[in-house]
Amino acid sequence: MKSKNTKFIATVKEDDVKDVDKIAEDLSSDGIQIDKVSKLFGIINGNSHSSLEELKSKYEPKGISFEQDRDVKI
Amino acid sequence: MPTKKNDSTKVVNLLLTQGDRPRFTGKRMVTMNREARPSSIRKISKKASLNIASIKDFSSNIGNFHEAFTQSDGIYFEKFKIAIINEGNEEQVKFMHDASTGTTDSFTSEPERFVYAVPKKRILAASENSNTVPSSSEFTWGAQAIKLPNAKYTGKGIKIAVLDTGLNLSHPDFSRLSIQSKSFIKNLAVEDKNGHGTHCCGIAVGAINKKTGQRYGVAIDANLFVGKVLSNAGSGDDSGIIAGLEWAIENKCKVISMSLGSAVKPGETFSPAYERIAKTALTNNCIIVAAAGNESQRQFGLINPVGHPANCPSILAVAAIDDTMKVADFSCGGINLDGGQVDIAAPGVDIYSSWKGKTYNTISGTSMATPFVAGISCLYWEAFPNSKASDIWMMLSQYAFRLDALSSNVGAGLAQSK
Repeated sequence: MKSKNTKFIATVKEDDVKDVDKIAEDLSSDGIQIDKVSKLFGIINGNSHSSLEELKSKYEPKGISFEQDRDVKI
Repeated sequence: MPTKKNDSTKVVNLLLTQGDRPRFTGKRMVTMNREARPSSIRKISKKASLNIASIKDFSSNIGNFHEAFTQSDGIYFEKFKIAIINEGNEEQVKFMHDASTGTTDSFTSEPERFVYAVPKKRILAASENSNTVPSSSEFTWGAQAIKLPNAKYTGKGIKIAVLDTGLNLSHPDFSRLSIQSKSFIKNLAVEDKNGHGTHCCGIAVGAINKKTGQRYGVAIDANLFVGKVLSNAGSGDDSGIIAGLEWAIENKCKVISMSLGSAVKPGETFSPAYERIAKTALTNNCIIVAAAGNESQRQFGLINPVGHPANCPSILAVAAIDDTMKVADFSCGGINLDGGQVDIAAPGVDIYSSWKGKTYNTISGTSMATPFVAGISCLYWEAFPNSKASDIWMMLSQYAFRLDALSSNVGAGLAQSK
């Protein structure tokens, strides 16, 4: 069975921006690939084998919102 | 118990004016706590020796409504839990405030303002609309439309970032500029082999075609930061753009121009990540300007919503107009309720600017309108260097040229130079 790959942007709560590195570490230990962490914005870019809906249902109650990393064009 | 007195309200009122017109009526507007009982204002005012009438007693006759102020010390609007207290009762209002503070009957009080009709800004007449804005030997039509010939400022020293396909770094029109650049696309240099990024940079800061002497760029003395966030094929992803945004803000850019995006569906909401970024930018005194999108086909009645990321409330979304001051056929509109409004418009049809390979090109899109607004923002930043980003945003809107079009299509109107 072909595994899913969700390229995502995660946004932590405003109060947690200072802890974004720790939150990224926690996601990583859950098996999520972290590509970039923005300490300025409190945003994490990465990839996961879970679907976007699965990521949302697992992490949004913890205050981390997930959205698809979109393709953007001119 | 406080006593009524004739104070200097009228004198103060005359001093606190907007131009020649007074701002405050002298009355006080009292807003009760949401939890307050409907009858509480009358009870509290009685303790302060005030006779407050209810609007219900006068609702059937407007003449009596005005007369009520002469027959009582004020009027109470029970539905809104708001009372207007006549002037000369400031001590009583203070007594009421002190007596109710900390209870469910507490309230806030503020001076009642005069309200004036907003003077109508000049709107293009139909006869003017039928004419086009011409290019001249000195200025392109876009530059003329934004009143660049009258501009006092050049964006001197203002840092502006253009996040796009990069820049033709050897283009002669940019040789005089201070440029910093960085690529956020893996294995690709900043050099623009698409042309789109060079075109946008040209509109924002490109200045003058050295061969023809025609000016097409806005903020000719700004400091340019070129972030390559789109490939030479003109595509990229959010993560690269976010990295570019972070770079621009960390370099203290005052303006970020993004002529890029992706279409959204009707009803789709904005990205929380980009809204966070835009709010962070504003906090850091930086305005993000983005293209509304080109997905409409207005000639067939199709208006698509403002795209991502321009649909974020804290990003300035730019629509395109043509040289007859009409909304461009392709320009997206503010049809989504949750974010997604158009904030302002700028020239975006048949726009001449620099291009890859040291050349020039004339193309159309909200992509072209966006750097016009970004460049104009630099002029405002130069004029008002100590302002907040929110003030610059407000001024862009305030001084926009009103167009004969719905604000859902053109926002505040056509951006104007400073």
